[in-house]
This record gives sequence, structure tokens and C-alpha cells, in this order.
Amino acid sequence: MSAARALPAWALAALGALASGQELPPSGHPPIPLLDRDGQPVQRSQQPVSTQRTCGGCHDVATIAQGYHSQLGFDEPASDSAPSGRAGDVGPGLWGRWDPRLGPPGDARADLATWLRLHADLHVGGGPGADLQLEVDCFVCHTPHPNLDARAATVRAGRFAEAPSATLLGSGLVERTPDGLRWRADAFAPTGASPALLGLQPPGDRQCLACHGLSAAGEAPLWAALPTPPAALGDEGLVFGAQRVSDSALNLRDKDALTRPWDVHAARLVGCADCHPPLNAPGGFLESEETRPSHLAESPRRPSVGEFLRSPSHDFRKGSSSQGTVARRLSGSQRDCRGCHASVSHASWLPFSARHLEGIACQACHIPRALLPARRLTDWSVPDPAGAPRVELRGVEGDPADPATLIEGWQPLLLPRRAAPDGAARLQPLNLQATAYWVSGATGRPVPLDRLAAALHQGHAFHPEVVALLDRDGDGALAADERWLSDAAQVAAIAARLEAVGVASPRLQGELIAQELHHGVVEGAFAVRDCRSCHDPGGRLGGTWLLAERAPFGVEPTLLGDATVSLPGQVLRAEGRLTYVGAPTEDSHAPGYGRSAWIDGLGLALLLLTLAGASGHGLLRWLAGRGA
Amino acid sequence: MSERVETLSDETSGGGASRGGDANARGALAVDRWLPLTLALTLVGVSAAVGVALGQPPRSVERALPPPPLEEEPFDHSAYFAKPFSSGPEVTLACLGCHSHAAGEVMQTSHWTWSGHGADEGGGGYGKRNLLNNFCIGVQSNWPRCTSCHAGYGWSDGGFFETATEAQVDCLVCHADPTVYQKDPAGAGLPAPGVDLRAAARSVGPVGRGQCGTCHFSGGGGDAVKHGDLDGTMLHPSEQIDVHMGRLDMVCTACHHTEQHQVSGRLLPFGDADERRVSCEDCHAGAIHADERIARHEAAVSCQACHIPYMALEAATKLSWDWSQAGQDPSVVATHDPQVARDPHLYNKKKGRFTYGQRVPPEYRWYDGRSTRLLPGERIDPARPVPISAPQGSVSDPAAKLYPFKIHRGRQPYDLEHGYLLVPKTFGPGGYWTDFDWDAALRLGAEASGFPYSGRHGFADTEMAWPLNHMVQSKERAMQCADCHGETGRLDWRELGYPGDPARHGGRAQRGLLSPRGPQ
Repeated sequence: MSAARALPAWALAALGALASGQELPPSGHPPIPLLDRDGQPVQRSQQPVSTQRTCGGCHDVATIAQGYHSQLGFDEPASDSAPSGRAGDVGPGLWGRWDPRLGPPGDARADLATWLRLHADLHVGGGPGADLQLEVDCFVCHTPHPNLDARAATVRAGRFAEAPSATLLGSGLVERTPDGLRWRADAFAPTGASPALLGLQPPGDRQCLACHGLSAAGEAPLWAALPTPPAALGDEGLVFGAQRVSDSALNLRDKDALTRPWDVHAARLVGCADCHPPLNAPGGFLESEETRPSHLAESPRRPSVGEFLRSPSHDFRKGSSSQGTVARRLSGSQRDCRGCHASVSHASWLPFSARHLEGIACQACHIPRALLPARRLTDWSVPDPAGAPRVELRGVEGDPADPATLIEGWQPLLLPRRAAPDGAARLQPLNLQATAYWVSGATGRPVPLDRLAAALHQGHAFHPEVVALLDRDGDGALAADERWLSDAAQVAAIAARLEAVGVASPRLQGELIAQELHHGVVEGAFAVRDCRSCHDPGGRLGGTWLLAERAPFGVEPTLLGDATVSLPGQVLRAEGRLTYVGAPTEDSHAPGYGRSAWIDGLGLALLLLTLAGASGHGLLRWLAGRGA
Repeated sequence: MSERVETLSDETSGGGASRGGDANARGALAVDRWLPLTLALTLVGVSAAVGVALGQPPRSVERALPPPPLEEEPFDHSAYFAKPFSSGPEVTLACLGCHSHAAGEVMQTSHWTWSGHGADEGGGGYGKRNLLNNFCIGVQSNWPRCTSCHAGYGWSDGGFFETATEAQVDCLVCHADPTVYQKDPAGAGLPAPGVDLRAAARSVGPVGRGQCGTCHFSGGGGDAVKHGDLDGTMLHPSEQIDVHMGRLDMVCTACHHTEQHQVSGRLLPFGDADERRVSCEDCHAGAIHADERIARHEAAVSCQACHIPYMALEAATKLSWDWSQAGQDPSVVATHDPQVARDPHLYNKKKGRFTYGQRVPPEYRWYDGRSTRLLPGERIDPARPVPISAPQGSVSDPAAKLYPFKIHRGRQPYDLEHGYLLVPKTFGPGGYWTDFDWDAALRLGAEASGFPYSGRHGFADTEMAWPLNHMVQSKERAMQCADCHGETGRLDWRELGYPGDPARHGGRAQRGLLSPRGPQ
């Protein structure tokens, strides 16, 4: 094999660039021409860039576009009913899950273009989008400053082919003009786009967190305006970064004392890709169970660096969180805590450390608190004219968008959960979220948003009758907290309006979603070390967990069918307030928390026997002494 | 049974010498005594076990450090100074009435000699008295202004040390209450007009932060100008400013141990390493970091590098000074840069263009305890920044560690023919601040320094390294891994001699970067 055949094209290009004296970016990626769908340089054709033609010259873009970030469940259709058990779900992931914005009555799903537009800020292109010229957008994850807002706006406008070009707005390579996007010829060298402007690189934490949370890295203090929280942040309150919490610009309770980093792994330079590498990364290749012999825990075979760069898997190792609804075949493929932390030092201070580690997930103590607000209730019973549900947040009182609002944070709930790799049940910290929505018909399919809008809205405002029904303060408008169906009469009134627009047998339904916490990990010094936080009647195992301050009347939420957690306690309702009251786990006893009659009896018996033995022994000796 | 009881009673009584009835009686009494004790011990044991089981978390063990020396209670001197004084030397003579050796000791210190490094041809050594910097440039020809921080009275020209006497030692500047006693800022070290010298003398006591800060906070002519880590916020600092002085209320002399008026520590010693160097390890010895990975850094990273993450935390410090811009009327500057012309911290006609910075990340250099210093008359290469002072050391020097520095960047006059930096006369008659005539100012400065001026000058870029040792932060506010390593790290590893980030490429020992010969 000649050297030229052994080296991938990018390496040859890099060598060529080096030979020509061009400066390469830190990643070493050589300059590349940006090509349109016809293979012409974009600065000449002024056509949108095609990642298939541009990146596909060296990388296997067709395979890359099948990764689960591109599919979002599209490739995992349910044969009959989805694992969630929810009527209307046709599969896992964003593609298959119920979305109130989709699905007119009678249709199984909305058309693909609508789905792509609605998920413009969450779908990276490729997968199902390829059929509509929405190519996988490599620049979203592989350039330092992707313009995600411009990209999302372009997708929402239905200009799918332009999306990757829009991502590069702001890089200096392309600019927006009244006539559309224009490539700047002066930003291109004969070898292609200026590496300094394009800056191709492996994805960093910031790229991952652009969709999955907030990044707290670098010198600039973290600042996050928190209106209705972004989707990812709202579930977990995820912030990942090395910055100290006390250095942030957020109005957090006891911030000065929070001298810990947002996540200790980030502070120790463990980034997203270190735990979530591609499956075929040479350093950590994971062969699928389908092909790996059962006698091998891990295959020692590795692809070469060249092979990997030619065809890097864009399926990443992932955990097995209960909310992970896509690519379940990969659940647990990521190393868990024990995969790196081989030696734990708990035994020196933690009584029964083996038992604790067996029954409690590491995160239970090492994620003692979520610092940012997260979603508590999502109430679709009376969506506003913009189509937004009423949302209650935990961890904050007042308007989270107001910088003066104090962010309290919240303590995660501990629930037992069976998870890979060993399937053992461990107490896992999580956010238990409630959702309420209308369903209809015998099957209980969720009522789509357009039917709700027809029943509740008039143009861009609430129907006057709906206002009259719910306007508690009489100001003629419905504030967010007034969009609450607090009694049977209000529920019946809205149900009647739904029936009037053709919704059969409308009724409210609730569900609980267990959103696990795996980030925001703290080192031992900041972890839970107070035994009474669990071993106490008011502790985390038995406390009262607020699910909703104002839950719609009659809604009694239950876990979805594919939930991997169990609820040993009870969901209680008092007025509109919905709470979960914890209880001992089903198969374990937590001393100090609950009472177990036989343990109490055994303890008492042992104590009495000990006292009787000691007293009897002393008495006998005393008697013996007197007799003598 | 009775034998066992007897035997037991013997054991519990420590082995009886007598046997028989007396022994049995004692045994019975012993049982009587031990029964409640046994029960009590049982209860105590059970309670202890329950306590352990409930698992009170262990308290963190803090290694015992010697208690920091705090400000001593001042001895009341007021009874010793009944009469008013008419001059500073008169106060000194009164002090010497009891502390007869004090002035002689002071005159051996660098606070008096303003020298102490090496020896020049005249045998006077190098120091502030004859070295250049890139702030006000040099003392020579500017004595009355510069020596307002000298621990003496009347240093107004180059002949001061030939005639100086013990009476000219200024006891008050270090020992009097700094709110009572001040020097004239342009009076050759004499007391400021109007100072009540008797009140000042009555206020004397041990040296506190205020006395040291009088000069060391205001080096360069203003608060925080010279030092990035010493300014007025250190007078009564919070622990966010400095953990030693803020949390523990330590004073300067707690670390800068002083014997016979010799204060330990030196800014940036050149030539031989400072034998009386102040070190963190003077107090923090042994296994300091429990974290194994952090502990490994100790071989290559100074304590200061992590525990002084920023300089000038609240008061901005001067970062650059361009003398070549001096002499322009602000109205002229305003035509091309109105904002600069308006702000005296950005432009001053007498001094030129400045930049200041607050909460500035330090720059990092290898430092083995020695430094290089540009000597008077030494030729420079004006094509590149001239290192007026620079730490010695490299990645291959096992004795060197990474230290944080403030690098002050200047642009200052040099002789185009002789190729050395020049000292301008700035202060007083004929000085640049009076006449704005570079030629005349440089000529007068050259006469005072003894290094001729050819009559042709240019401006050269210079750099001066100022080590950062104060504004120390506790572990909760110290640097973390990502502050130096990774994508957002502030260190340029290649510049420091590594092939790349040592977190990814390995440390200097792993990479074989260290010199096999050991410390030089």
C-alpha cells in the first residue's frame, strides 16, 4: 500500500498546507473549499454550501448523518405501541413522542417539513431531513462560533438547503444581504476557506451545551436570563463548566459560599466528549453486543486513526438515564462513575460504605443540589395564544427573567431506579416533573394544539368566554397563573368548548416524567455528608416533594410506561397542590427514616437480654460473695 | 465457682497478696462496685455505637500552623516626648537616647542605602539609587521627589551618603502613626509642613500595615501604580483581598521577619538568590495538598501561581507607560483621541500615555529565585522589548517554578549613539515636567547619573517583571485546573517550553524536559 493510500485525504491536505507554509488551526484541520450541491466553490456560485459535498470529500457524511442526533428517533419506529404507552406516540425520541404542536385530528403525524421547522433548534440536520435537503450541519458542532439562531430561523422559514450557510453567518465567510446570503470572495484562499475564519475543530463542551444546557467556562461570569427556560435547561437545570458558582452573575442564594465549580469534572478538564466519545473512537472503541462474543467484556480491536477520521461514528456513548428516549440500544455504553473512580475513599468515614454504594447512585450524594430553576409542572390545559403551556418552575419564586429574583435552587428527589450496566436498583437523584394535557376518544390520544387553539383562542387572544371563565382578578386578561382550571366547572366548560370544535370525549390527563441528574457533580468536600439528610423522617427519602402548586382539577399524574424509576411513596392532592410524599424503598430499610417492627423488636430483645445477662451475672457473683 | 470468683476478684484488684475470707469479702465488694460500672459502660458503649452508626461526618482536619503573629500591642511612648520638636532629626536624636543602636542598624539596610545587589565599580552596589525602571525611570537627578519614600531626611543630591549622619534616619516613617506623620512628597524625605512632630513621636510603636503601605502601596507616585499586589485595599483588607491579612489579620512583619531592622524578603533579587527570601513554606510546610494531582504540581508551580489568580483586585494598577507620547497638549490629543485626553489615568502631558487594569490575570514565567537586571550603561537592542528586570529559569531548570508576574511595559528614552537607556531629569528646575524639553532633561539626567548623553535620543520598548506575592486567595478562590489547562486555560504552554498542554502531553519530568545536570 502506498503512503498516499494509507493516509486519508485530509492528512494529505494538511501536509500540503504545511508544505505551502499555511498556518493551520489548533485542530490541524487543513483549509477546505466550501462546495455547493453541484460541487462548485460557493464563493463563485454564490449557492448554499453543501456539507455532503464539502465534508463528504474526506468523511463519510452519509454514515455521520445517521447518528442519533440526526435521527432523534426517526429510525426507531414502534411496531404497535411506543414504549411510553402514551396513545399517539409512534416511537421514542423527539420524532415519535407526543408533541402538542403536531398532529391534526385523524392524522398519525404531521408532515416531515412541519416537524423539521418545529424542531429547528434541536435537530442538527441529516436523518429524515436529508429528504428535504436539510443536510447534516457539520458546522453546528465543528466550528467555534456557530450562529445557531440564524440557522434555526432559516429552518423555520423552510429554507432547509440554506441552513449550513446560515450557521456560518458571523464567521466572516458569508454575510446577509437584502438579496440573501452572499459569500465573501476575499475570505477564500485558492486552497479554500480561511482556516482562521472557519476554524474547524472537534466539538468542545460549548458546542454540546449550546443545546443541552449552559456552559460556565472561561473568565466571563455566567449569566443566563431565565425566562421560560430553554428545553434542556428546564428539565435538569444543567450547567456544566469549571467556573466557580460564586463567580457567576446569577442571583443565587448563598452564592458567596458556593466556591465550588459548577461541575467538578469540568474543573478537572473532563469534557463532554471524554465521557461521551464516538463509539468507534480509537481510544475507546465499543463494539456492539450484536457482534461482540459473549466471552469478551470489551473488544481489543480498534479502528486506525485514519479509519476513524474517514468514518467517525456519530453515535456517542451515552448513559442510561430514564429520560433518554433515543438510541436505547446504546444505553449504558458510557462508563459509569465506577469506570473511572476505581478507588473510593468512603470507607474511612462512611459507615456501611459497601451497602451505601450498592444501594445509592454516586450522584445521590455528589449532586446535592440543583442550583438553577427547572421545570416542575407543564400544564397544557389552557395554552396561551402563542401556543405556550403554563409552566411552574422549582428552585425560584418570582419571575426568573428578572435579575432581582433570588434563585433558590432545589434539592433533587431520590427515587429507586434500575439501570444499566448491572440492572441493580439504586437511589437516583432526579427532578420529578408533572405534565397535564387534554386527551380525547376511546384511545386517549392527546389533543393537538390546533384544536385547543380553535376552542380557546380568537385570533391572537383568548376567547372572551374563556377570559370570563378564568379571569380571577377581573382585569380582562389572563395572566399566566390564571390559566389554571381549578374546579370541575372550569374543566367542564373547557371540555365543552373542545367538544364544540370536534374533539370527542375530551378529558384531562397527567403524567410524571423522571428527569435524572447526572451533571453538576461536586467533589467530596461539597457532597452530602450529613447522614440525617436521608436517615431522618424529614429527610430526602420521606420528605414532601412539590409537584405542582396549581395542578388542573382532577389530574392525578402517573409515571409513563417506559419509566425506569418506581414511586414507593404516594402522589397526594390537596386543593390544587400536588405533592409526592416519599416512603421507604420497597426492598431496603433506611435506619433513622422509617420504623421496621421486627428490627425494633430484635433490638429491644437484644438490649434486654444484654442487660439481663449482665445483671444476672453480677447478681450471681454478689450472691456467691455473700455465701462465701 | 467460688474459685473463679475469687480469681476474678484477684485480677480485678490487681492481683491480691492475701487469700481466704478477707479476699472473698473484698471480691464481693468489688462485684458490688463493678455492677453499676458495667451497666454504665454498656450504656456508654451502646450510645457510642449508635453515635458512630448515625455517622456524624468527620470534621476536616486542618493542619496546625504556627499562630500568625498579629500586630503587637503598642508600647505607649507618650510620656517620653514632652517637649515639641522643630525637625525630624531632633526626633531621631530623642529616639536614639534609648534605642542607641537603631540608627546604625537602619543605615545598614536597603531601606536606607537603596542598594544591596552586587557591587558596582564604585563599591556602592546596585539598587534604587542607581538602577533604572520603566515608571519614573530613575532617581538620579530627581532626588527630592523620589526620596520622599527614603527612610531618612534630606537626600536631595548625589552626595547625600557622604555626609549623612545617624540623626538623618527617619524613625517616624516606619514607627509613627501614619495618620499623624507624613513626609513632604517633594521634600527630599523631610516631614510634610505642619506635621506635629511631638504627636508623631508619641504615637510610635511596632510597624503595622499602614507604615509599610505608606511607601509600598504608593510606589510609582500613586496608589497601586507600581505593584500589582500592593495597594491601599491591603490596609484593612477583607479576606477576598488577602486571606492572610483579611481572614487572619496578619501584618507585613508576620512574614517579613525583621532583625536589627533588616527586613527579610526582596522584590526580585538578581545575582545570587536571596538568602533571606520570604517563602510560603516558612509556615506551610509538609504535605500541603491532600489532592494527589494538585500535590504533584508543587514541583513545578509556585504557591503564588495558583493562590494569586488575579492582581489589582479592586484598585487598578498601571500596566504600561509610554513616555514618547508625553509633551502633547491635551487639546491636541483630543483631536485624535478625545476619551484619552479627558482621562488623567490614560494621558498626562508630563508623563505620556498609560494603561491601567483591574482584576488582571498575571503573566507567568519560570523563576528560580534569581533574576537579570539591566545595569546602568548596559547596551540594549531597541528592536525588541528590553528586559529591565526578568526572572531567571526555564522549563529545563529543576529549581525553577512557574510564578505569577505583573509585566509592566514601558516606552522610554535611550541614547541613539551609546545604545543605553537614559535617565531624564523630570522633577524640578530644568526638568521635563517643567520645560517639556527632552534634550535638556536627558542632558541634566546624564550629568547626574554619570553616563553621557550623545544629544540624540529615541524611545525603546521595555519590560519590567514584578513578582506577585500578595493578595493571596484561600483554596476556595485559588486557581482551578481549567484556569491554566484546556481550551480556556490562560497559559501559553509552548511559550513556557512545553510541547503542549501538560495535562494532555505530560509534565516536564515525564517529557524529559528537565536538565539532567540539576539546578545550575
